[in-house]
Amino acid sequence: MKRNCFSEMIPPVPEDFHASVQDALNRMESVEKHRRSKAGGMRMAAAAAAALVLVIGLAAVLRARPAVPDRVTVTSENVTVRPTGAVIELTEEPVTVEIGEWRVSDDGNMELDWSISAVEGDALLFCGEAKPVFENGAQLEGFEGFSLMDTTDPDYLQIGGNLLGAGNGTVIQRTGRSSWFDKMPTALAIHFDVYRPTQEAFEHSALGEETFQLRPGWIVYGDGDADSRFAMPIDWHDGSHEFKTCFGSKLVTDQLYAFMDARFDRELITGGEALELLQEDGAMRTALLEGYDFAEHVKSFDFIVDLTERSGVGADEIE
Amino acid sequence: MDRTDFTSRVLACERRMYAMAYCMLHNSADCQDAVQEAIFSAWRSRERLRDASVFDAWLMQILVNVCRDILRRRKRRGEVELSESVALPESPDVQLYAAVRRLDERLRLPVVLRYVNGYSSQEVARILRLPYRSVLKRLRQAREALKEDLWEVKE
Repeated sequence: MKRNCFSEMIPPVPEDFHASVQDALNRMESVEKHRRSKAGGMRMAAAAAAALVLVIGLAAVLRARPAVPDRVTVTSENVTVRPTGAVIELTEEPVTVEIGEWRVSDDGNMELDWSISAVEGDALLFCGEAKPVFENGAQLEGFEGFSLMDTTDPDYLQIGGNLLGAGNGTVIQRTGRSSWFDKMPTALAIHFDVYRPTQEAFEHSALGEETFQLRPGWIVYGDGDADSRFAMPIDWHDGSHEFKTCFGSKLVTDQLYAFMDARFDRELITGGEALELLQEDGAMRTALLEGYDFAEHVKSFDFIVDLTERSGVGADEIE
Repeated sequence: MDRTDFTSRVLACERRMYAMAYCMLHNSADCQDAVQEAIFSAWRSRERLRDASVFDAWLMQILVNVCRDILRRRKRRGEVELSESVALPESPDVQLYAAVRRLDERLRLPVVLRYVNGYSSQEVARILRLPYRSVLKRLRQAREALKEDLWEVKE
């Protein structure tokens, strides 16, 4: 292997590459202006600081002609918000999401109505999904959940690359109807988090350096700052379990996956397994948080609660 | 950092950005998207860069993150990678490129940053947010893997 041969292995830079760089340099100011004007237009009362809120975890088991709830309303009552010193302290200002009646449309779709207490135009950080779970346990990939956010908003895409389809953006409608194609799911698992952040937090999130309030039910990797990442075990009500990551910076993601791969050779674990993992001293530090002083942040574990209990909240209400 | 300064700094590391993105994404179209996105992000975040002397590494750090996002999106959507076979240099570097590409990302990125882009090991550590010793270890592992891989090809 000759010296410097590495530098010759890359294809020549194509001509249009330089043009695209130049194009980005020409547009960067207008892109930033656009983003700032959107953020500014979102009524984020500074004094009201910001707020975090809510969670909905619920599931409905449907069989052939399932006994479906007439109405399920889940608020943040079951969630205890505990601020940490590592994140922006948020003032709770609940955002309530109401899930309406289930029905089967004329063309065979399953439909439901939903509404959110946020005002149209509100800026929210959003992390949610409402995925049908079919008999074989498969989920509908690419399903965006509720059509709550303006997914064409460039800010949404900024952090929209994580597994939960989370992002931030503006509320485009307060109510809506979601339908699930022509398939009838055996269960529907909904996880839905809405955060109303401070202006500052919103700005950070738009830059990919999200800062969030921590809350029970979230496993926190890192200290809640830009290098943190959250992971959430989900116990689906069809008996399957899933472990998903969400928010936080993208920096830790690969370490997280490497850890998951090495530890389980799969991405699915139960909430209980996740908790056990966290209790294994040093495991996360070496495998996940290489380069971070994890011991310093172990206090984040205070926020872990019985995840099974958390995901069962919705189910209890339905029954 | 004003616009002129920012622009000149970006243009100065244009080639390195391309090399980095190409080694992660393996096709020019995605490279362009990634680099554009990285430039937008860097411009928005420029005020938080306290030390302009590390602009190059900082921009590369953003680019690596953007590329990782693209790769994750691909994976999530089940997309097949569109590799380009055009414009690859003649042997032996085609073999070298193929061998580097076969490396796991955790080894490939340090190799590209260190040997293709010419960053110091300290800079690689900063870009990848890894401890310095981890970078050295990965580089050593990568060299061993490449050596073995290329030896097999030769045989």
